[in-house]
Amino acid sequence: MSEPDQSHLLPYARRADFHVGRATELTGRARVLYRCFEIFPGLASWTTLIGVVLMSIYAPFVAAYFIIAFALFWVLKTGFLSYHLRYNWKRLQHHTALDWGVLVKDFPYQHLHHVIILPFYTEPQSVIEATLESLANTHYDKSKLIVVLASEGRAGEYAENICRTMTSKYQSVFGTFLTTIHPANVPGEMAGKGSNAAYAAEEVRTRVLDPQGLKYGEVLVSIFDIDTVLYPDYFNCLVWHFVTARRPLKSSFQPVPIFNNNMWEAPALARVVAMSSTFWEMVQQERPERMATFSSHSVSFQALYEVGYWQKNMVSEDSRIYWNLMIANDGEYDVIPLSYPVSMDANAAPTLWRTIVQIYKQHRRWTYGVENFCYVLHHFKNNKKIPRGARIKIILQQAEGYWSLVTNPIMLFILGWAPIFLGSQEFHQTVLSYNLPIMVRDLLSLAMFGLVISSIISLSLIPPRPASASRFRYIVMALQWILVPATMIFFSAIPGLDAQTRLMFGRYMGFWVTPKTRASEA
Amino acid sequence: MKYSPTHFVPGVQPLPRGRRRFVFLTLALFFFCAVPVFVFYATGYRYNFMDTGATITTTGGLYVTVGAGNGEVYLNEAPVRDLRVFRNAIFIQNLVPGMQRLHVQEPLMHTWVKELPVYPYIVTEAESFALPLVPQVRLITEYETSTGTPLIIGSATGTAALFAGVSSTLPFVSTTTKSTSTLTRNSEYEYLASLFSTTTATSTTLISRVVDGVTDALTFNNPTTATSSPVLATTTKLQDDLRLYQSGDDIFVDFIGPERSIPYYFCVPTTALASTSELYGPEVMRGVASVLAARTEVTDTTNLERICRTTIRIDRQWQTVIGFDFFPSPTDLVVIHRTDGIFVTEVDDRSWQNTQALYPYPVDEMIQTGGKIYVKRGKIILELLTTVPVVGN
Repeated sequence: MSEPDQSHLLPYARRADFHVGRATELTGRARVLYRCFEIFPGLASWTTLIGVVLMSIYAPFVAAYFIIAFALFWVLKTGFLSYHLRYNWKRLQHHTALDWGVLVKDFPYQHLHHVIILPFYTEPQSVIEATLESLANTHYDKSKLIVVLASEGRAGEYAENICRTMTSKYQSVFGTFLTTIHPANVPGEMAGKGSNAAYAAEEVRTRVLDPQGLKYGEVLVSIFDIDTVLYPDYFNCLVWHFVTARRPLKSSFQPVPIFNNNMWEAPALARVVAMSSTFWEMVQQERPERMATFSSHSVSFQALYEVGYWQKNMVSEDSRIYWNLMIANDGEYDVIPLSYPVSMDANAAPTLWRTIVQIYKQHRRWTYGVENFCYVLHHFKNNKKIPRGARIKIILQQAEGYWSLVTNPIMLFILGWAPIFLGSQEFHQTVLSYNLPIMVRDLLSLAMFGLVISSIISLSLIPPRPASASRFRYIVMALQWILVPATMIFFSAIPGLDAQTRLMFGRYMGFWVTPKTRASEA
Repeated sequence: MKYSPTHFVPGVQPLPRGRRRFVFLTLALFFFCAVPVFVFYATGYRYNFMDTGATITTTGGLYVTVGAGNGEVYLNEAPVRDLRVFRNAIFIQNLVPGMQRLHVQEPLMHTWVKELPVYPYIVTEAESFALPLVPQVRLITEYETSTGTPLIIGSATGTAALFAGVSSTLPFVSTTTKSTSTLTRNSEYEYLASLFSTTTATSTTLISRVVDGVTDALTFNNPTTATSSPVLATTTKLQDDLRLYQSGDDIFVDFIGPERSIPYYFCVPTTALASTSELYGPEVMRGVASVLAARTEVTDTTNLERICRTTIRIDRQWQTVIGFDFFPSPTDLVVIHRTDGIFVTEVDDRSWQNTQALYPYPVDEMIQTGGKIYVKRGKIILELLTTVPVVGN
């Protein structure tokens, strides 16, 4: 059996370990080191949490000082992030209102083609149809759109029927409408979105791009979750950013995923969690140097081809593709925020309990993105062409991100009180001991003012109220933000800790497909 | 064709990096400046803006538990703004070290007053209590009417004397009839009467002697126990690691639990040792001195910030003690049956021990059962209520 052709890959991407998914795929010293990297995030988080408990018992004064400083840090961090959020909200509204069709007319862009990959598994037909309908309604020349409905062989006849139905309905709407069936049980692959999308990308190359003689550098690939509903000017906005980018072929383009398709049907808990995820992406849009791609995004086909598409052997392929591209390009790679929305589904199930379980599992999968941290450490050690300063900065940023995601909510809302309950008698009789809960409470209350901004912004992002929903729901939607302390702990910190602990013990996670349910199917 | 500034661009540009950095650095600077301020503030330091010079003072606090009522707290005769950050307690801070006089007042209730020292960085704890000014009783008679109303058999003047100066929470009927054939016997009365007859036969039971022996063996050194005279108490009461007993004419409370859970009022801060007598009185001074004299070693778990006695004498106000028990709740109070009535005294002897009348009239016997206090006067049993019933309930 001949070696696969790797000549199209960037030099660094030709390494055998370029697409490493976990320590067990390596050998020797590299494997041991990678395993250490896998242990590190969980160990750091657990050490912090246990450390605060131990410090509360054996050094309650130090613990109290630390907690006061940390609560203050949290207030300032909340203010800092709210500042970014508010600014991006303004930009998002402006970008949504702009006529991007007029803006792109300044540039020749008719040579550009778009490949839209829509991986799906067993999602309902109505969800898929809504996505394709939104694609059909975009203000863009549809003949330039190559739509790939990427199904899973594991889904069997159901997926084949969907493909047939959608082909008959949309074949004539788009320039090309392609369906692919990703074979099941391919050795070395993990069943999931990454392997499906990578298969679809190669299929579209061999079946469409090459036969039609399309240049890879003039093809933009947009990969969307199957519940993604596009706003009309998405492709115009994308093209404008592509043609004005400093290095368009070395850039990924990130829209703002607004999880609001089913906002009027989802319970308050699901709405808060979904909107919090949107807000985080909005904050990141204003500090692109810290961004990695997330969920739905776009990138040139050439860039993808140079790194061998999405990884097929891991969970969080949406972020990993950015790290693949960034590392293979020796750090010369950007994420360009579009500040333009795409609508997706809030994670909601027919019952509240199932919603809770689904949200937990989805966030565990998302926070399992910590596997990227190991990947980055591994390749930053090897790719010396990336400037050392940039490597250190990125590692520190990533480490802080994964650490704070897990530890901060628990430390603030639970362990902040630990010295009071666990501290010594000497501590209990001090003014500090009595002031600690008051001060932490007041600081957290101050931080909660950020939620007012969240509440206002979230109300502006929800779709129009359906006739079946009462106006009273607006009040509920404004007040739902008081759930944030609970959602931060139960749908951010704990699933994050769960994911890091699994990675720490080598209990690697598989890809869990979030069920998509809308009221019509419920 | 590359981007040129002449092309139309969106009006709202990404947040400039320079501005982000400026905001970040401003917040970081604020953080590093504010953390010491917050820490010093939390510890008890205060900057006095009112003085002409820049002065930083050290302060302490008072933590006063005021119970479930609506007691108003006064500090040095000035009302304290209600800062009930905790359930039934008020934390008063920013206090200059020195003696502070606390009042807790509630309408229709006794006033609780205490003078306590405040130390820098330290919170002095206290727990107030308030009993009704007019004793509240519930009458429990041997017989009831058919509708369940208590019935007093005797003269009208005798009945009037029974309720002089007290308030009955239930209506009752007074009769001079001697015939009881048409009346209903009150089962509650019978049960309580049987309890009274049990307690009359006072003797130290085998169980209580065993409990005393075990707790003595387990407790830490107790040099201040009143050993000058033998423990003569006919009854020893145990509750929440506290032992209540009589020795000579006096009654005492011993703490018999682990050192780490000793109630605050057994202790004085080490920094106040030199002035213990001045701050807390000679009684506390004697207790502290005997602890220091008996201390032979300091273990890892010893709290060096304070000295704790294990015995406190209860102020009986020169009256003869007939009986005693722990107050149902909280247990930091002792209910004493004296020749002049039933009184409640706090265990906390830092400054004076507040004593409030629960029923300031002579009674035959007193018992505490099921969290309630009962007294017997002749053939009448009264439940002594510790709160004023809310009108309408």
